[in-house]
Amino acid sequence: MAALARTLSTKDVATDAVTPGTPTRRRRRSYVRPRWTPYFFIAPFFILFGIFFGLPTVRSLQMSFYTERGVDTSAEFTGLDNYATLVRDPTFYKALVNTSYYALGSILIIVPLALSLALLLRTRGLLLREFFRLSFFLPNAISGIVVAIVFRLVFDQEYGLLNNWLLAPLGLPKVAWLADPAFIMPSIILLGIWQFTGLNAIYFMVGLQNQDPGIHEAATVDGAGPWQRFRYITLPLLKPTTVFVVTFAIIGSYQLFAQPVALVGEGGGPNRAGLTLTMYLYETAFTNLDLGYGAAIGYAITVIIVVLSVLQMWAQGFFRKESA
Amino acid sequence: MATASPRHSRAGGPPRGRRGLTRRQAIGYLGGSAVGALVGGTTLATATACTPPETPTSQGDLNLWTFADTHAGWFMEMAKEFEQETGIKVAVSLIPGSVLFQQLLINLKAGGLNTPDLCDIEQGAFGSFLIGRSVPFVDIGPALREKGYDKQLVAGRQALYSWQGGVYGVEHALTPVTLFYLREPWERAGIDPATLHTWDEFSEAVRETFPPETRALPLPGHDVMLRQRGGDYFDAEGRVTVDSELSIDTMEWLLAQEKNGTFARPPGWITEGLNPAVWAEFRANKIVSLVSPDWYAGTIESQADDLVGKWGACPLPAFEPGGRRASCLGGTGLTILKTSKRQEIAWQFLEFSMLRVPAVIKRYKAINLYPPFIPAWSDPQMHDPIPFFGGQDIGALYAEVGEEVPPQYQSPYRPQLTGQELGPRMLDVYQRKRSAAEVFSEVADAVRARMERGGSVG
Repeated sequence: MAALARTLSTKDVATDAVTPGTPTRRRRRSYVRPRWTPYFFIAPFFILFGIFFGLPTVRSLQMSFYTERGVDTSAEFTGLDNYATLVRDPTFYKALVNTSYYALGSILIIVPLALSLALLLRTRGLLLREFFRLSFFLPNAISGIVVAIVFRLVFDQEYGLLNNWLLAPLGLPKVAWLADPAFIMPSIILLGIWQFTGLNAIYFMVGLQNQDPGIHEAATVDGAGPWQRFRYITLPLLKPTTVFVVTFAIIGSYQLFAQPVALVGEGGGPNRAGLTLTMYLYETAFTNLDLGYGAAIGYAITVIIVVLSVLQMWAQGFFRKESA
Repeated sequence: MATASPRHSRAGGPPRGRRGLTRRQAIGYLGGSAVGALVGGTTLATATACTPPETPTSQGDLNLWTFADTHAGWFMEMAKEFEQETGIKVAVSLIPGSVLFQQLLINLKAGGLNTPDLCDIEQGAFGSFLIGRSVPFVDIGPALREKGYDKQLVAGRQALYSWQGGVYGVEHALTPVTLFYLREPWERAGIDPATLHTWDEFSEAVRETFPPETRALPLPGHDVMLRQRGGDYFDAEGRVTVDSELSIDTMEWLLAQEKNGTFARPPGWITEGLNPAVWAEFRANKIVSLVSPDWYAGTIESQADDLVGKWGACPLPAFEPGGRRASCLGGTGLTILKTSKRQEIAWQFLEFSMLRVPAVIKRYKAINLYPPFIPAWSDPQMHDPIPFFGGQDIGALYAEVGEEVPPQYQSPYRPQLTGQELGPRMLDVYQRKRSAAEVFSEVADAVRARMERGGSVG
């Protein structure tokens, strides 16, 4: 102990001997006194996040175990009753199928389309490149409701752009895009393609720009053709971007609300063909005033999104050691 | 102990010592102040948001919410008159469309914070307020009965705001559904539709007189025709009756009328209602009449103003000789919130604006809502010619059929039945993909299951 005390004492003396203001002294002082200033600066975000996101999240989890109906504030604890109802609810499955249809459709079409667009926009010597970039991004800057209102006109059976300018010249019959249950979800997917392809193309362009051109040049020198370079260099190096784009596409798809509501109404249109999970949540909680059940639907959506996101990240090898 | 860094001295900063502030401290205090201000501000903002706004004048002041700009304009006029008479000021707020419903729900869920004293509730949304252990509106039934208003209001219309013995609102409009017809093609065909007393006579006359490409009217709503026959989707006790024999028969009758060439199904009619394609058919005289509530006149005027003045109106043909010749569609009721601390004065204003002949006449003149308040019907001002109908005394027609207007029964599950179960399936019935019996039975079962799960309601 005495030896230890001597060592410490020597250290203190040695430290005190250092000229004031040197980095060593500042480090030591900071170690002794906790730095609160950074916490003060980041506090506003966490306070607001806690009030407007954290508390409601916890409260809704609690609410999902209660039966809380109507405008009176009393609630009755019913355990897993809301979740048990959920697994037997045909409308929930209808909304799940519709939403998954949209998610699959939009991911399988939008992601390859966005990648192709990004590759095209990267072409050397492309005229008006910036104009095209801006044009493809622009739909994303417009509110979903505004886009849907415009697309209502585009899809109009009698006077719409699609039927009169695309199908009629080809001699095809008019399609009831928003009245025929078979065409409602394809219409919403078409809208999604128009609105979100450009944004995803921008993500891919950033991913492509971050690739070292030296690797491509080396492959070219080694005799790799354009397809081989794309297949074995571009695509693997784009994996983080692809994971990001697909994850956000899944999250966005399962949160789809404004566009189908504006296109086919809150009920989802004929046969509820346009009813998405978030629309069903809204209807349950804010029209039927079944708040406990609405909260359970909300948590079901969260679980679905998390599971699907993790699954696709796993499928793309995101969790393999070399990816990390 | 605070120790200034050498750079402070070089920059001519505060002298070293116990009272000096280091840059780090200064930044720390600034950050702390910012957080303090933010937290304080948030708390204050929350407190402010949770505190009802100060009333502009005396404690007698009232707040009224409505979702329709036409109603808001008329209420403001009423508020002025009410203030002149009583000195009580009524603040009218316009919260458009379904936002009012959401806002009221949120405020009621928050324990009644900032709720108005009086509120217009659209009949389609009213059922949602019956969910739960208590109705958030004041039961004005005793007051209506005490002053004899219950006998002066059309009973069928009041059914919309009645539930389990309580009466929770007063309806603005009679919403009588009659037959609107384009005068010119009917005159050309040599038929006066008012002389066709039954639907059978009507159907026969149309098929015999008009050319084959002309149909009498677009398919009327199933609920409208069902009510004309005395049925509805719920009965007076709130039981589901959408799968009743009468309901199924009415749907089959509608489809038969389409098949025999009397009724039409123009593009978009089932899913969108009145739309440009429908108006094109009216203009081309392919359709010559419309089963319509009084308030459609305004819709028609806004969508097809070239047809204004060309319409006539007459009672609906009945389903059997001597039967009911009117139905009803839509409606909005004025309610008093239980959370109001000024319920007596709110009742005074409701009485002043909704249950007085001069007031309801003013409303009719201003926004074309024919009142369900029977004493007003005989007033000469209610019989002024209406330009929309080419000068016809429409008041006489509505007075004639007014007391025949059928009841529309309310239920906590009405919005769910119509909007979530029946509406999405109706296209299959109209397209004859599924039978009315099959669909209505499925809808009834789904709603009954919801009711069973619903527990204590109303």
